[in-house]
Amino acid sequence: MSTSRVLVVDDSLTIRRALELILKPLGYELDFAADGGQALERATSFTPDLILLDYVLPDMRAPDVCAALAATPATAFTPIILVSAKGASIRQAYQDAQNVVSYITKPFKPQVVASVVENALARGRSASGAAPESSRAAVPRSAVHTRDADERPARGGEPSASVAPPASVEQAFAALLAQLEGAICEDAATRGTTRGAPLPGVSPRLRSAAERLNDVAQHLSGESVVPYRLRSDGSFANVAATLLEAHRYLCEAAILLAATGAPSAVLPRAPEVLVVCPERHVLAGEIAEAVRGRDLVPLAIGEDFAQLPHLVRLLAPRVVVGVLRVDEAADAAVHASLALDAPQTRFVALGGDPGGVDPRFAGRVDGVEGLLELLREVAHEAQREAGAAPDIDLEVVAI
Amino acid sequence: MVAGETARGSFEGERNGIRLMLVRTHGCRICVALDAVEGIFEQHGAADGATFTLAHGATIPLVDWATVTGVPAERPADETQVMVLRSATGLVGLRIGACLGVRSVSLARTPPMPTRLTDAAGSPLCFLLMLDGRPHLMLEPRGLLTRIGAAGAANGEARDGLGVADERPA
Repeated sequence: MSTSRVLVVDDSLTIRRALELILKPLGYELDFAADGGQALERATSFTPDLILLDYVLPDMRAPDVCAALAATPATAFTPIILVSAKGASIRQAYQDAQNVVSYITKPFKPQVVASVVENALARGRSASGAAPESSRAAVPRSAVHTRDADERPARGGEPSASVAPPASVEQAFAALLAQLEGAICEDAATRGTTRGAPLPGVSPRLRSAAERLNDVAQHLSGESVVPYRLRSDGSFANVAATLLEAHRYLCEAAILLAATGAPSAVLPRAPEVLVVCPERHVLAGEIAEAVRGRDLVPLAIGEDFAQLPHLVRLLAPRVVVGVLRVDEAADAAVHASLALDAPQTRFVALGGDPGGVDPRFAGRVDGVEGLLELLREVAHEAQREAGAAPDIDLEVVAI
Repeated sequence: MVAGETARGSFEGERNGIRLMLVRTHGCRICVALDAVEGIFEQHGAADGATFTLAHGATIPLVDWATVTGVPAERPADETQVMVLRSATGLVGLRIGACLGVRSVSLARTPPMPTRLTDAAGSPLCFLLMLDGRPHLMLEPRGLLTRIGAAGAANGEARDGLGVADERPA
């Protein structure tokens, strides 16, 4: 049992990780695929004893994957368990698709997954011994599970004693975090950081993320108004909640990855400079060209002026550089931003008639050279405030 | 548009791959993890403008983006839809003008930058994400709820709780 190979096919990284957390401790050898094409490829090379197949995949429908697997000699008799959030609505597909022996509805309990997987493998072993030439014989319909059956230990035996549900959601989250942290360290290793070594400036953020996850877990367990319930056995009550927090964590992880790849290991920060310039303005191309290759992030220049005041509030940039007198929309957005209570932000006019610059603007720069000089000043200002921290990258957002 | 929609050419197979729902509100491009989107609905008969009633009768807080950011702006007339977002602490609705579609992105390739506006827990309310060379704000639904609070949402007091986590001197 412990050496059985299981292929997990799901387009969600979080679901794959969750199933890995459940099945790996039970001794199963696992492989993963994110879509139908990958599934067919991995199924041939990995030759699994069982396939957990997400019903909705980006490129293929599950019944088509099942049919393709059944048509392949190496996987013609491989039992398949459908995994879906569609609940009982996939029952028809479950009955029609080839080699499907059971299904699991999301959200799922770890012990239900473990039990269904083990039952399917056990039935497959016994059936294949009796009639190996028939794929249908290898997947007896007696393995049908109703949703009710999925809510309790699957028929045919209690969950294996080795199935150890997490004592609490907090522990489950901690396990998930530990795995993701390992993944981050692995990524860092490929970027030249010593494998296994603590990443400078990273651990506090990881701890912070872990604390937030635990905070949510406490909400889950303590508040009756929360639609996501903590089950008495400590399993996840709602996969969506888990996914949300995993998403939040992945955002953190992405930031950390970018940080470890940066020469100065400085975390990405909110942009310091906003450049407001219409896409078709004569300076647009010059600005884009000027910031390219200068350790400034070259960004496209658009005409979504309405979001300028919102970006000023959210990003609190040091400087907003605005090209004035291009049209009413740009003028209105700049002046709405000027009206905000944002003392940390300077507004500088780029070009325009010197006499026509709004007196609330802190200054005016001429052309692209003037803009670059201003950017250099901002970079030096940032360095001075950061003290000894060298090589602070200046990022520019142009909208 | 229904949560759970899939997108071709997905980056989800990659580490840090994620599917995002893109919407526009107050001229801003907002993106939210698709897993966090309960659905997008036409707004219908909200009595106080601060709540939204779902089909099964439940009432949830309804937020205007300008209130969240603290920008005094008129509500655009074309913002007639509500994006209902799931968070671990409950559902919350955000008024939107249009849904721009679903995108799969790799956050490892395009790392989001934290904004300085924070939620009640001190975390960035959203992240700046550059897609197609344009700034998008990747929203964290939980931050919305912690910001507005149950009472604050009804009274439009959300901006009182705003905090800008900028350590620079003014």
